[in-house]
Amino acid sequence: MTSDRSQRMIRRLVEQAGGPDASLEWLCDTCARELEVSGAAVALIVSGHDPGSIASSDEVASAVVDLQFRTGEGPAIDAHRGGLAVIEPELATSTRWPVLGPEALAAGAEALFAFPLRAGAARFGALTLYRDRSGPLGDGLFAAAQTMAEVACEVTLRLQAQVPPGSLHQIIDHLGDQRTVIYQATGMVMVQLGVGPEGAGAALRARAYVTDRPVRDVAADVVDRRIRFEL
Amino acid sequence: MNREDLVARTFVELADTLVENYDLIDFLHLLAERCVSVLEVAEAGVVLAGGQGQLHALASSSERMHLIELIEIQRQDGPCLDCWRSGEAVREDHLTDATGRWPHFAPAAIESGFASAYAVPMRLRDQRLGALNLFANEVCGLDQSHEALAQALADVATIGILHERFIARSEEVSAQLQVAFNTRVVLEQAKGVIAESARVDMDQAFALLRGYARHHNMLLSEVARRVVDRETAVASLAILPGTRGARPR
Repeated sequence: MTSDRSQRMIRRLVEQAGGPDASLEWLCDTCARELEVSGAAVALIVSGHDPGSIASSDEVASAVVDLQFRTGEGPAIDAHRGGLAVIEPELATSTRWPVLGPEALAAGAEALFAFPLRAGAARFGALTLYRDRSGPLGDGLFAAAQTMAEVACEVTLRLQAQVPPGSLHQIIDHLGDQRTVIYQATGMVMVQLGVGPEGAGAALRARAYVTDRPVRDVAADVVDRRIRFEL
Repeated sequence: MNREDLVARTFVELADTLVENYDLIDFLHLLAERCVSVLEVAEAGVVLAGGQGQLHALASSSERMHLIELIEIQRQDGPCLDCWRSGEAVREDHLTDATGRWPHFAPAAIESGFASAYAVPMRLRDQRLGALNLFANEVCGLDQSHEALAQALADVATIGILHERFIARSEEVSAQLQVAFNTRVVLEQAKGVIAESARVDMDQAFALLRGYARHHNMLLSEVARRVVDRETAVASLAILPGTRGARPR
């Protein structure tokens, strides 16, 4: 991508940033197209290992984020923790994420890239890219992807700045809505196992993983008292 | 090192300082010191307007400079005041002629050994941030050819200040996002803890939580946090008076 193209993208995004909430979805679509990858998602990471997508270009992109939530590992988590870009051009031969790797491959991702969302000392997620064939990012696209992560960060914060402190912008709130049952189940498992929120969350995710079900479904069973965690 | 090299090196040095988590005061002090060497004046200082339009002397190349700037701000006369009010550069090649223009500032500056004074605006479009003060020991102390360079250095200061403000605002919004999201998470977790411990459903768990918060005049989020951290026993929520329909089954 030439810097002209990059500048045009950013200009169009910033024009949209104050307007409809579609700007983050548009950013993901634009990343997929202009960065020559298959898809992109903006993953919000609020507590240490809790990624959730607030916008994505397609199902696989959001699945890649959801898988990181379930397995507790992956590029968005690493980028968020380390504050640096994470590049995995060949997932098939990589041992970096032993649990996530095979699942992401099965979902259709052969290469994964993640760029942290950060503003000063604050970090709150990662722009996550996947491609359905292996290989590095194209020439000059690494810098462009980093710029897009900066734009994603600014757009997210601009949206959040529109609402009063204590509340969440609706696209972030929506992620909370989707997770409600998971957090409720976490509280119940805390009592069942006598552990803290991290331990209970890990137990829920592990159950989802070994039974190959979405965390949300397992959580719903806990809340409906169809599943109990016993010591 | 010749002058052109010095100027180029100064701009590179200032740009290098504008990285993440830089210290604004440190940056402005460096800028003031470099103004002295690059513009060949005696002293330089950065004066910034606060939220209420009150000016603050943020960084000066020396204590002598700082004291004169404080006099300017306190007595409300002097080149930086005029510059900030008008948004235009101010030149005074002969301070001895300026006692009418600046009755407080001019005599004080002369007594401190200054003979000429200049101020360059720090602004972005309509937004006036403050002024860069330049004082010299001789009359006509700022070479005419240095004026554009002085403005360029003031622009660097402007960028530094706006960048810092943007980052600070971003950090603030990011912190608000995290706090609000965590509050949601903890509230739902607390409902789960209560639902499991007291054998009630989620609505009843919420009613217990809210009843307890109201009864004890506490924030809902604080009660939720205590329940999740096991500082408040679920049993103590359930025995409250006035939590109708939310008693354990």
